[in-house]
Order: sequence, then C-alpha cells, then structure tokens
Amino acid sequence: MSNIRGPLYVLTAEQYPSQEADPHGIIQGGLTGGILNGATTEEIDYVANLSRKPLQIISSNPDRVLTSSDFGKTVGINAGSTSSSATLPAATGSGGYFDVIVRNSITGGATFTLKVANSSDTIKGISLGRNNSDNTIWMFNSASGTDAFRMNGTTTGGANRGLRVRIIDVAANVWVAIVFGNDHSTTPATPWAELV
Amino acid sequence: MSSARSPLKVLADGEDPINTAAPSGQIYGQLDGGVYGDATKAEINNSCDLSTRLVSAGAALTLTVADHAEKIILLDGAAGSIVTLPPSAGSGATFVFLVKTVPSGGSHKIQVSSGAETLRGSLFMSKDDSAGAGAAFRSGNSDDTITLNGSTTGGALGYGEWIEVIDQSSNQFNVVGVVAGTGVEATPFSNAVS
Repeated sequence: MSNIRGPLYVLTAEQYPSQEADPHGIIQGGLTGGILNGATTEEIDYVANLSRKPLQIISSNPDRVLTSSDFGKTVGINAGSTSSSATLPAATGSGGYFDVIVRNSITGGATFTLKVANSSDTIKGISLGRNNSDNTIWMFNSASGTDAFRMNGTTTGGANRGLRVRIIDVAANVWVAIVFGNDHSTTPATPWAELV
Repeated sequence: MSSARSPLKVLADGEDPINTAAPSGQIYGQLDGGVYGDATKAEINNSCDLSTRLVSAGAALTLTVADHAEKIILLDGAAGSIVTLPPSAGSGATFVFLVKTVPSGGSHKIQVSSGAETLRGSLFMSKDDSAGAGAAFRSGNSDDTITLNGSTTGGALGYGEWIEVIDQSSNQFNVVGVVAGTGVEATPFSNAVS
C-alpha cells in the first residue's frame, strides 16, 4: 500500500488513517475520473466555471466553429456592422447546450447566423420577440427543414441588445432553440432559415 | 489528525500514504457530505451530468426534487404525457419541459400533486393564423394544470416548445414558457386537480 500514487481514502468517522491497514474504502477513480457517479469534472466545469463562460464572436473571427468542449459557454454576439456566424457541433442527443446573447446590435446590413454542422441536422424552436417600433409581440415557428437562425439587425431581429438563445442538443440531428427577446424593426420576419 | 472525521488525502506521486506526516494536501470535505461546499453529490449530478439530463416522460411520470430537479423532461407520449410535479415547498428546484411529440388522441399535461397547490405564471403561444402572430395566457389564481392538446392550447409544433417550472413557495409553482397553438387558441391553464 505504501508508495502508490495518489489514492483517496474514505474513512469512517473516528477512523485513524495511519492505523488503517485494510484497503477497503479506497476510491478507485480519482477526482478526474467521475467521483460523483455521473457528472464528470468536465461537465461540472461546463456549468459552474464562470471563467470559461464567455466566447465572443467578433469581426476577427467571423465564423466560430463550436465543439462539444464548448458546451455551457456563452456566445456573445459583438458583430456590429460585420457579418459573423457560429457553427454548432453535430447533434447527437448529448444534452449539451450553448447560450447566445446579443452584446452589440447588428447594424449596417450585417448578419449573425447560428447554423448546424451538416445537412442532416435541424434546429427546432419558436422565436419570441417584439417589434421595436410599437412593442407588439412577434413569434415565429421554425419549419421542418430549418437549420439556421439568422438575424439581420432589422426585420429578422438583433436590432438591439438583450436577445437570449439557449440551444440544446436533444437528439441525433435535432437542436432545440429557446429564443427569448429578439428585437425586430420595420416589418418583423422569421429568423429561421434553411442554409446548410 | 487523530480521530479526525473523514479527511481525504491527496498524495503526490510516490508519497507514502502511511508515513506522510505533513497535513498539506488534505481535502476536508466529504464525498457524501458535499465535496464542493454545500452542494450534495446528487445536486451536482442533476445539474451537470449530461448523460442523464434528458428524461423521457412517456405516458406518465411523477417527478421528485431528488431525481428531476434541473433536468429536461421530454413530453414524448404518443397520446400525451401526464407529468405530476412534486409537492411544492419553496425549494427553488427548476424543471424544464420540452415538447417532443405532438400528442394524438390525448394531451400533454403538467399538473400539481394536490388541490392545495397552484401554477402561477404566463405562457406565450405562437399562432398559425398569420406569420409572426402570438398570444399570451396568464394563469388564474386557482389554476393547477397545464394542458397542451396538440392544437388550440399548444403542443402543436413538437420540438421547439418549452415550459420552465420553478418551485417558488409552499403550494405554489412559477411558470413561464413558449408553446405553439393552432386554430382558435385557448388558455393551457386550468383548475383540474382536486
């Protein structure tokens, strides 16, 4: 038992470790091996580690390809007048998710596009937003072939900060997008598109 | 160190666990008592374990805080899923529901477990009568059930519809969500649990 690498002892109350000869109770996995009988340390990091949350889309990185290693991160749209996009990983039903927020209004004819990785994947969702000229509510359902969410800064949304999207990998080839607070101007139109 | 309660020792490579005298590197939490401060093992798993995040409701499912808080419940019964919430106690537990299947011949229902409890909040509903049209329905003071019938009261789209329920106080849940209706849309809220 001596000189082995990094075992973790679980001792009962009042048990004195240096006098415990019986190796029962040793956790065979380490802290990095899933001690919580389910969540891995990586998954805990997805949810709890604030330092890894921001993931900005900026003009110098116009197409950000997301991977499952990015699950839990927040995509902050800083597009301004430069078009940009984010490409999701292939949908597998992992339960992983991303958050997308508009940090800076989309202007000058630019677009921001959130899209799937391949032509088999789809995005299902209902966009809930408003027309910023009269505060009326506008809701748009995705269509059967929808594979992208595109805002142009005016009719399809993204005209002001505040949009939140949580997009969840719910099944093979299916992402579900929860879209809240999309800001449209002029005559609102659907942000859902078939582009891939 | 003697008679200390359940310390965990992290040893360096080659370090002798028996003869190590210095207490450096000890983790003072306990696996069963909350290794990460106050959160329990089950709470961390419920929030973080992707492999168990999606839960099928099937034809009927009764939720518990211990097993279903922070999970995503899929309303996937072909003829509807009947989901009963745990007793509300102000736990702050959150339950997220995604409509997976448009019910045929029945309805998806989210209901409280006793007549003393209520669901309070609003549901937004997209409409099929014109592009971009929507409506909103607020619960009545005694409402305790959400019914998505696959058409007028929602559940008409399938994937893309969602409802979030939070146990906000004794006998009361908070509700917000977005669903899709067709035809002459009507409120999904009702008082149906006795």
